[in-house]
Amino acid sequence: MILTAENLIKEFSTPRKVLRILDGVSFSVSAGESVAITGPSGSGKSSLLGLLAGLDRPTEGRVLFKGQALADMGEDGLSAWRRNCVGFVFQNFELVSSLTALENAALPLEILGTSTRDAAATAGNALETLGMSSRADHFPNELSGGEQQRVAIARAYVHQPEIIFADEPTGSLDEETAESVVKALLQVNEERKTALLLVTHNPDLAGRLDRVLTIHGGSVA
Amino acid sequence: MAGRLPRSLFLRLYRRNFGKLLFFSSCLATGVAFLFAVGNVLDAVDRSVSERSRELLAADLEVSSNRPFTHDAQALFETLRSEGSRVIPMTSFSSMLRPNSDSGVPFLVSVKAITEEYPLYGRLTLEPPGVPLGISECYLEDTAAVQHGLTVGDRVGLGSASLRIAALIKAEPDKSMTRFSFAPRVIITRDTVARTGLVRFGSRIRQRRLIALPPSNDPASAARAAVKRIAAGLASPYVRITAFPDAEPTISRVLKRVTGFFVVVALVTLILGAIGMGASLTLFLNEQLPTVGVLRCLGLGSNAIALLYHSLCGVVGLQGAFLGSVGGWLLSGAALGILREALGMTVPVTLSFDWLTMLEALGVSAVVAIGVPFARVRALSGVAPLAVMRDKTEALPDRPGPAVILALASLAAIYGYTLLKSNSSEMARGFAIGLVVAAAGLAFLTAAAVRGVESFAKRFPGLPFALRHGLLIVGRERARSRIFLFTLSAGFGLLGALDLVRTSLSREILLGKAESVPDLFLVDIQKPQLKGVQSLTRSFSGNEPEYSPLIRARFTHINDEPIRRKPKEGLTLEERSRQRFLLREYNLTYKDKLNGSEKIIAGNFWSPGETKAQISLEKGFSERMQVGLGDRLRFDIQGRPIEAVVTSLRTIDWMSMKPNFFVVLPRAVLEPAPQNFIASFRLSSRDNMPEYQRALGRGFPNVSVIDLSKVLDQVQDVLTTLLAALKGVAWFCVGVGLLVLAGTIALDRRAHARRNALLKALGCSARSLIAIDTVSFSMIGLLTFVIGCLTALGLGRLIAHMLEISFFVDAAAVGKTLAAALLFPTIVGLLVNARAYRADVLKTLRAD
Repeated sequence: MILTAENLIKEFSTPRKVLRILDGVSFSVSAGESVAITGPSGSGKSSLLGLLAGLDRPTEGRVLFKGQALADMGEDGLSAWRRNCVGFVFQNFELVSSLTALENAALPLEILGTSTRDAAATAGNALETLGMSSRADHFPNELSGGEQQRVAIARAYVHQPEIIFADEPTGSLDEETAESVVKALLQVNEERKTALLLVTHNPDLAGRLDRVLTIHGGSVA
Repeated sequence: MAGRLPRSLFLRLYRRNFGKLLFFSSCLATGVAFLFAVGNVLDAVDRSVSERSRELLAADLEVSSNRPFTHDAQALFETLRSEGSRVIPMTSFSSMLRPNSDSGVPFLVSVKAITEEYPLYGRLTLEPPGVPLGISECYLEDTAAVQHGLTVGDRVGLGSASLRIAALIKAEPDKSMTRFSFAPRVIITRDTVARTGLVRFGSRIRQRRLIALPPSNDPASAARAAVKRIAAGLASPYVRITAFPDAEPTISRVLKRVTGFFVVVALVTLILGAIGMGASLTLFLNEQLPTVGVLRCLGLGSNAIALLYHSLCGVVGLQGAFLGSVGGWLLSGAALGILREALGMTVPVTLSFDWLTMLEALGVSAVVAIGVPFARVRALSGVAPLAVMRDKTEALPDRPGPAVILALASLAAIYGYTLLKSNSSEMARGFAIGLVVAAAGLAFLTAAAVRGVESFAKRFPGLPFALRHGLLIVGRERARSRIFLFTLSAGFGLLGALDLVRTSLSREILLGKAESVPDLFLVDIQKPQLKGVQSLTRSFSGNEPEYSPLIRARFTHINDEPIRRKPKEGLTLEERSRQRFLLREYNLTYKDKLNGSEKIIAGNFWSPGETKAQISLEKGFSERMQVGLGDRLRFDIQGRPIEAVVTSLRTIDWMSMKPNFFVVLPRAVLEPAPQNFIASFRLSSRDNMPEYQRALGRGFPNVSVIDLSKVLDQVQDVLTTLLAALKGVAWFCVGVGLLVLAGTIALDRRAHARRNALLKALGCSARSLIAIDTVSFSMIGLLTFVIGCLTALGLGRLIAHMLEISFFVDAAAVGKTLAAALLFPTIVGLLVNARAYRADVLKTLRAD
């Protein structure tokens, strides 16, 4: 197993009461597997993704990556884990507005310490694979939504992570563009055997992945 | 709805952004508060300085004449008395004083006859203290007593009267530095004057009236108004009327510059507040792009949007005026407390809430709040909705039209306001043009710097990750970087300029302080005595005093046109005054080298050994005489005519206390003329004074010593007060500036946090994020330092020129301010963003 969630509980305190968002979620993801997390709005899908990606800490329970608990890694260890083993795709693309498409895609490699020249070459290949090489020198505000998301996908796998977390990656896109983005994600998953954990409330999209986890009322249904 | 203000939308926007709008208001309020406070503080400083300045005249004003006062003048003095003024008579003249001892040599004294009420302000310090002055008694200046071996109880002869020395004069309030007589002082009562038999037909007597006006809130203005009234009432060219603010040129000159400096500081603080508010509002308006896009798509017209955001800016102005007025009132209280303590003020200063100032604050705030972001609001309202919705507009586009209108309006507003505050059109013009030129220069430099940083980062792709990305943030996030750079460079540039002007002004004041100027004068040294006096004085002073020959002369011709006395009937007051100026006797001197206080401003000064008759004139003197370069002047020097051509004009720094002359000729031309000498110097130690005076009295009894150390001490007291006030006011301005600039950096926190969250999600450690931020803020700091230095030098020189101060670059002092510019963005940037390094990534990215 590459990723294991054990009895995850997440609570938020409000002035009136304590809200339990996740209530004892447990599951595992194998290497190269693609898993969809679905559920209605407010069911805790994105919160679960945050816990699994080490961006947030559970109130109870733990997340294990290849048997090692994320909670034991410490802040620096988690950063190192994310830059080496994890890729992210966000609903709103989250590209750095001051960097070109190529520079955005090369960012994880540069953070890893790869030279700018090598990082640019690798990122260029990734963009080419996704049909974006002609837009490499464009800034995010010069790209369409679909193009921005494809750059985000290139950025997510350019450093060959073991798992990609995608939070509603097609949520802001039209059907046609969404399809191209999904294809790109699945292509990466299949060709590179990168595990994919994708949050969506689109049942058709969820159905195209290896497994579907439905969250309801904070628990896996 | 297209052109009307949607009220509910306005209220919602106001409520939603209340905190931010309050911050914008507080930026403006700091400037307004200072304007509000500066009035009260200036008033306090002015009163404190006034109180001390009055002591230098011993009155609010002095009326003096070499002729007896007419009946009309006496009637005017009576009227003043009936209105509550105190008017006391005083008479002064020169005579010889005869020690009654066998070895005593008569010496020249300046006699002052007083009444019991003298002085009206200040204190006559005697030794022994408090001894009353009776008929047939006198007070004698202590330096003369030492020099001539006299003491309390000795008898001296003055005219036909024999007087007992009742006490020695240690300090006299109205002994001015610039109007001192060339003889030691003797004070007698007015009743004693008749016994001396010296006042008779043909005697040269100066009649004086010292006047203390009824208490007033603005004694300086009251004194000047009284001068005008008396001058109009007397209409005589023989009467000289002096108000206390103008009695001591050193102080009035410095005071004029200090007041000008305070006006500049008040304006700079307001401009800093406006810059802070403008920068913050620009960032806020940039953030409003998506909202405006939605509103435009929903059918709200561009006029309505402009009205909506102009209204919000107007509210910012109103809030700023209110907060500024209240803050300024509180600040005045605190500042007055500190000033009272620090400056040892004895004048009671009341804190007043002036509604007129409140209205002024309101007007200034509204104009600044609506005017400064005007162009940005127009740009926001005119933006294409689709471009916004598709996220195609990173920041508000610049529109040249409104920007030009704004620049012209700013020019007019700054000119008008400076004119109102300084009452000087030259200063207003210079300040307005200087600021607009500085703003244009800054805009160009900041844009060029940002592009330069981007090119540098692109040209060197091998730079370490944190360095490259830190630089790219500066170079690529142009709108943000330009706002930061412009604001910080303008702010620090203005503060640096202020610091340069303050240190230049302080230096000028320090040059007038007692430590660095001569405080002893030797008068009436005869030519054969010169070597002996030089030798004696050198042994006590440790250095060579400056000796200046004095030659008495009258002008007889200007360009062959004889100067003749015309009947005074038919002459205007001005013509009569000019006639007196041309006909009076002058002290000329000769020399072949200028002293350090003189500067040639036109023509050339002759070389040593010059034998051709030529003249160097003081600039003001040449203007009054209405002559210039190339004009020929003829003098009568004790019956012998000399004609010379004006070949140079000079300015003189009168604060240097060196002997200076309106008219100078070459040594070879005047050396043969009858002459005596005057010398100025300092003793190596004040303790040697009695011994020196005794030695001088024994060898050269006719030579008088004029000791100005006490007068200089008094002047120094006033100047120290001004220096402290200068420093306090300038530091207050720095404090306000830093707060506003810190607030501007803090406004970028949200965008900054979002970028950091993303990098964190991609695996950047907190250390890397701090390294990137350190690079980007340090680069902003470095550019601020460079552009701020250029701005400070340019504006500093301009302000110094406007205030007529010699510009001096005190690198150490201004270096401190600008070093702060270097570090400030990094320190503030890292501090205000500290929480972002540990913030929840998901929460940050999900936040709007």
